[in-house]
Amino acid sequence: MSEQVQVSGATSGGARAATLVGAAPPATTVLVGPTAEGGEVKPPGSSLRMFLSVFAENRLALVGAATIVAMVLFSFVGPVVYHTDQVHTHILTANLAPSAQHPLGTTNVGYDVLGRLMVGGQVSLEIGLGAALLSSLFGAGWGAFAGFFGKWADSVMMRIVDSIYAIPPLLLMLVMATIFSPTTFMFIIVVAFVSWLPTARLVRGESLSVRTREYIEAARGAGVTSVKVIFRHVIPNVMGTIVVQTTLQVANAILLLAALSYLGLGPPPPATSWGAMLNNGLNFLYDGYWWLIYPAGVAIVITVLAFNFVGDALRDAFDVRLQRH
Amino acid sequence: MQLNGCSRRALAGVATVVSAGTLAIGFLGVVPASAHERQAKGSGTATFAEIVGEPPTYFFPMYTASYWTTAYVPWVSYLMWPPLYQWGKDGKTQFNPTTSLAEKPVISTNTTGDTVATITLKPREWSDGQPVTTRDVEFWMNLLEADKTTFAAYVPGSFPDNVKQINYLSSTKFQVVFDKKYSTYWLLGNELDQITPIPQHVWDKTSLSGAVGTYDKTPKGAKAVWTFLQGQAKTASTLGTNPLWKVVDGPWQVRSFNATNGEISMAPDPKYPWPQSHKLAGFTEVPFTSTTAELDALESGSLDVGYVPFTSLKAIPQLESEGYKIAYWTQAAFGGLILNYAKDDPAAPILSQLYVRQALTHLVDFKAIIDKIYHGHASYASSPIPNPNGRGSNVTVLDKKDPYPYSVSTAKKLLAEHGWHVVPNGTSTCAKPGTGSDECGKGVPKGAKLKFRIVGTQSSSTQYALLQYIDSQFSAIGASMKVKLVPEGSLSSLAAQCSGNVTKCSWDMELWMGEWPLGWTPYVETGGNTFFCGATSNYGAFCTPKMDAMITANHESAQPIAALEKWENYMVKQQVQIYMPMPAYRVVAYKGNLHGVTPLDPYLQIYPQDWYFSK
Amino acid sequence: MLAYIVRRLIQAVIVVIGVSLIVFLLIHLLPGGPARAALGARATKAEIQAFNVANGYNRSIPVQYGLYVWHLLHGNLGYSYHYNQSVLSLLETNLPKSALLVGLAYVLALVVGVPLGLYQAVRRNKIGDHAVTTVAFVAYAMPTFWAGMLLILAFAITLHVLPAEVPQNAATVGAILSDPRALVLPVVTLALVNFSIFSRFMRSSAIENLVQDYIRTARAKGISSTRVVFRHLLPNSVTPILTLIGLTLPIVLSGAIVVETVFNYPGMGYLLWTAALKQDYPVLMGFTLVIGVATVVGSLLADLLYAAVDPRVRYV
Repeated sequence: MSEQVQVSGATSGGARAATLVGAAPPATTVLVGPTAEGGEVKPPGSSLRMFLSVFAENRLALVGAATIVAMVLFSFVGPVVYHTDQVHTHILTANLAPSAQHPLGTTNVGYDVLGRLMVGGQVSLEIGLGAALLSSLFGAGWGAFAGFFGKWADSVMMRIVDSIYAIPPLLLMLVMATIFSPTTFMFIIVVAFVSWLPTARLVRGESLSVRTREYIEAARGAGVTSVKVIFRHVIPNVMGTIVVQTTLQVANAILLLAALSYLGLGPPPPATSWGAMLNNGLNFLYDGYWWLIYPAGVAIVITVLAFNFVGDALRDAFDVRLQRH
Repeated sequence: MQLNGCSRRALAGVATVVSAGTLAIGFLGVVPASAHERQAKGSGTATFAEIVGEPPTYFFPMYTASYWTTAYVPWVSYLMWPPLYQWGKDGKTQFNPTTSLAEKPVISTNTTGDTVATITLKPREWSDGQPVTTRDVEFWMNLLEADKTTFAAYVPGSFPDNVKQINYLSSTKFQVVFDKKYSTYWLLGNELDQITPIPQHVWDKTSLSGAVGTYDKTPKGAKAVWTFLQGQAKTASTLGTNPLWKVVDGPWQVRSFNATNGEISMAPDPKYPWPQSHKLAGFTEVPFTSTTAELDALESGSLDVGYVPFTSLKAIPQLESEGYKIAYWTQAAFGGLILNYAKDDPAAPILSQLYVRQALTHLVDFKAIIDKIYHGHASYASSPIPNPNGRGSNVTVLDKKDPYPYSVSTAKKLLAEHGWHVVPNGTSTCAKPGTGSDECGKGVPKGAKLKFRIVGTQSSSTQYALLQYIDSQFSAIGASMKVKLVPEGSLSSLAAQCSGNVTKCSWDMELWMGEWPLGWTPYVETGGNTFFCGATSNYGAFCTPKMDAMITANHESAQPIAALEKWENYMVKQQVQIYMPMPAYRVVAYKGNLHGVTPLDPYLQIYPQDWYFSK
Repeated sequence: MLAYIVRRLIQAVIVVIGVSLIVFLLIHLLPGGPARAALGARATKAEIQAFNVANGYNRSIPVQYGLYVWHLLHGNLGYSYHYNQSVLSLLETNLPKSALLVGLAYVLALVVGVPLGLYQAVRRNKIGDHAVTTVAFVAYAMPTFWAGMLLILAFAITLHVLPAEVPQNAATVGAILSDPRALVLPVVTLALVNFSIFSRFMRSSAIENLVQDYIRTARAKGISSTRVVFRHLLPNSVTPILTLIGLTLPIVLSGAIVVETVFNYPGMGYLLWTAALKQDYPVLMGFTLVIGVATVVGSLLADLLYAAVDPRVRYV
């Protein structure tokens, strides 16, 4: 069947195809290929296990997890400690360089940049987490059903995945964001819409392999309904994949949200996201307002890195478990 | 000369400045009159920056709406095929008798009381030596009649629908008989200016290899000719070589056109009545894919007339040290926060209350916007009639004073006085419904929320900053704003969806600074297209009998200037839309040794025939 | 194998149809519609009506889709009102330029990524491995437009050593090559992401091979390490990279939208971007479809290639 090699392609520039982040680092997901084929081929998971020594792996994961916690605290608890007005513009104090009063300066309409990083972080993290969860849920459900039922259902469902996959995500998001009203929930849906495809493919592959296992055949033979079998046996078996995928998708969603902001379709004012802050900073590239260019970018890189580290470590852990299984 | 009689003020200065055949230059004193002897004769090619991403791709002076762009109409079409009557002179929004192809019309009233315009063509030649005659006007009229609804400037009910008859009296003289009595000012600025003579002796055919005939005399033939010419006009790859487009009566003739990037190079038309010899040997419009690229070209000195992007104003001192001069190109245009009056929308009754609009206007600090968002490169605007920096308007605003100065407390007070429970940073509600002077007003029920859906764009940093500012300011009186961001290109579609006589709309406010640029017909803003009940560009569907009556007066009054002034002052008070300061169209940088570029035309037309390099 | 190829081809055709359907529906969901987008806000109802009739937009959606497919089958991708050119001719002018950009970026990413990945595998868990890993992860975590901004800031604005854009009026590949320095920043930006993918990919592939018997045998035979790496490890590990190239072929077409807009590189991506902002529907539809079809073809080729080189894939 078709989806052996699942690429990571940075298919359309900045909006890396949903697979990307999930895919890139350790090659397991990048080359889901053989795995997806009903488990005929052993996943190159062993290589993964080898590539990270247990020590390094744990340390990176710890650093990643600590960073995530720090970012969440910074974004959600930070505003309690560091009070700024992120609702009203203060254009008379626009474009101020960093000072004691504004440690990271002010934006072109006078928002305090440090405070803005916090509220921008809230939006980025909320949408990132929300989109990752939603895309995993939907993608896993889609993939599990397709893989479990096989035949026509599988063909139709996976051709739909292939078709959406072939369209540059930036354009999909552009059209959707233009049509729908920009609430946080809508952003979650828009981002999830372009991110659920790799999860669906992965889970389908695993569910294809799971369904041939004896206990599942036994359950079906005993007259247990398909839906029950899927939820009782298939989903738990692919849980590891789903958890890993979700973690990596958070990072991916944050990058997609940034790309959406680059299109000028970020969260509506007075809300912002890190990506929207960056996009706004782009206008002042030639003005020397470095505080509009670096902080938000660094925040994105750190957060995305952290989620990728954790995702990697999780995958490793699950792989180890599977090996013993 | 009824025209002179009734619009003396409008055309003031025309008689004193212009003597036949002399082009007025150097209004701002950039070019001293004595510069004359320094001027080189027909030497040098001036380069001019096109609009980023909008190269001209069309060559035909009858354009459908999609080609009704600055890049095409004033910067290409008018240079090759100028209209019968052109406005924009000395940097002012005035009639320009010099560049117009005909003498000012003689306006009279016939026996049935209808307006008759008698027009005499100036003695001009096509570039192939044939004279420009009324047959060329007739040809244009026939093509227009063949498919008038697709012509961009067409407004149903106006020209040519209101023309009863055209009499072609001789090869140089013709008469337009209108269906009633009209304001001469309006006729000259919004109706007769649409006419553009085109070379019947070259273009009256239905295929490239076919012979020239008189196809235009029948509606069917005219339609065929029109279809043929449109097809040729749209074939971008042949625009530079097609013999059709080489026949011009304007100062410039296409030399070459690069269909891939939109670079257009022009040569002087030898038959154009140049004052002495022509001044430039060539004129080239250069395409750019970004404003930074354009700025790079300026900095490297490879561009003669370009502009400094608003995000790079810091480059100005450097450019000046390299010998560029800077000028602000103010545009006759209006834009701002369009309000929606579509009657089935919940916010419409609220926005219909004058006191609400006054309160909203009080919340906008124009000075802060000009200083901080536009860094000083914008002009104050309080009404749709262009008044860039107080220069150039035909109409005197009686109330020079800002009627609704920035004052948050006044805004709050206005609402509170009209029965609103004001909740700053929350959502205010109507506590006292009714139509009394201390009540919320007609159609606003008890408990109605001060809540608006606003559309804006993030594609432009200044418009986005303005949107953030407005959103923030309005919260001071408890106006709860729900913002939707769309790509810049969607602003026009969204505005159009709520224009005319719609009863429901997807937004309550739309921030669109590019709303209504004036120029290349209609030259004179009368509200006819923009505020008349059901008009195509009446975004927000404003509709009151009083407004319609005033607009009708603008079109038909015997004292058009007085009518316009009355309307203008009404508009200032009414704030049908919340007008925002109009940013300069461009901060232009031009080579110090290139003269005649300024004053820049508020209709965004260019007159490179006046430009010349000093040695 | 043959049956697999045939089935895979049929699938590809179905997906192409799916792509055309999605592209068509998406564009029709956009508010305003193509007439308004082409004619602008000032257009009258009559003009809109005339435009819709002339272009068949007044027909029912299924009929419109039928017409759309009919035109596609006749090689008609549509006509851009904005550029006054057929979408096909726009494609002809812009595709080579994007191909140049992306091609160079891929070469760079491969030339840097593959050896680094190999190096990491050999020096696994040593400091060098961790260093490269960190670089790859960070490169991966950067939003592309920000990476481009930083490069412009550093090399074009601060140091003035490289131009921030390609030469303007660069209508052809030749014109772009007239100032190769201008290609440096966009190529590097685009290569950044792909470098991280390739190096990670190469690393795990090589690590997997390192434990295979033939490497052990080679080592046992006393063949020098360098020789093992270059004669055995590299050829065997690079196979997945080959399929990766096949799979990422569509990048040539999607033209790295963001990189092209950040650097104002006049290719397909830039055109697509402008079309999206200006709602140039025919260009949007045409280019998206071309990219979609290329994606399908790319993954088809990659699958077939993969099946050919990796006998482990069973053709179910």
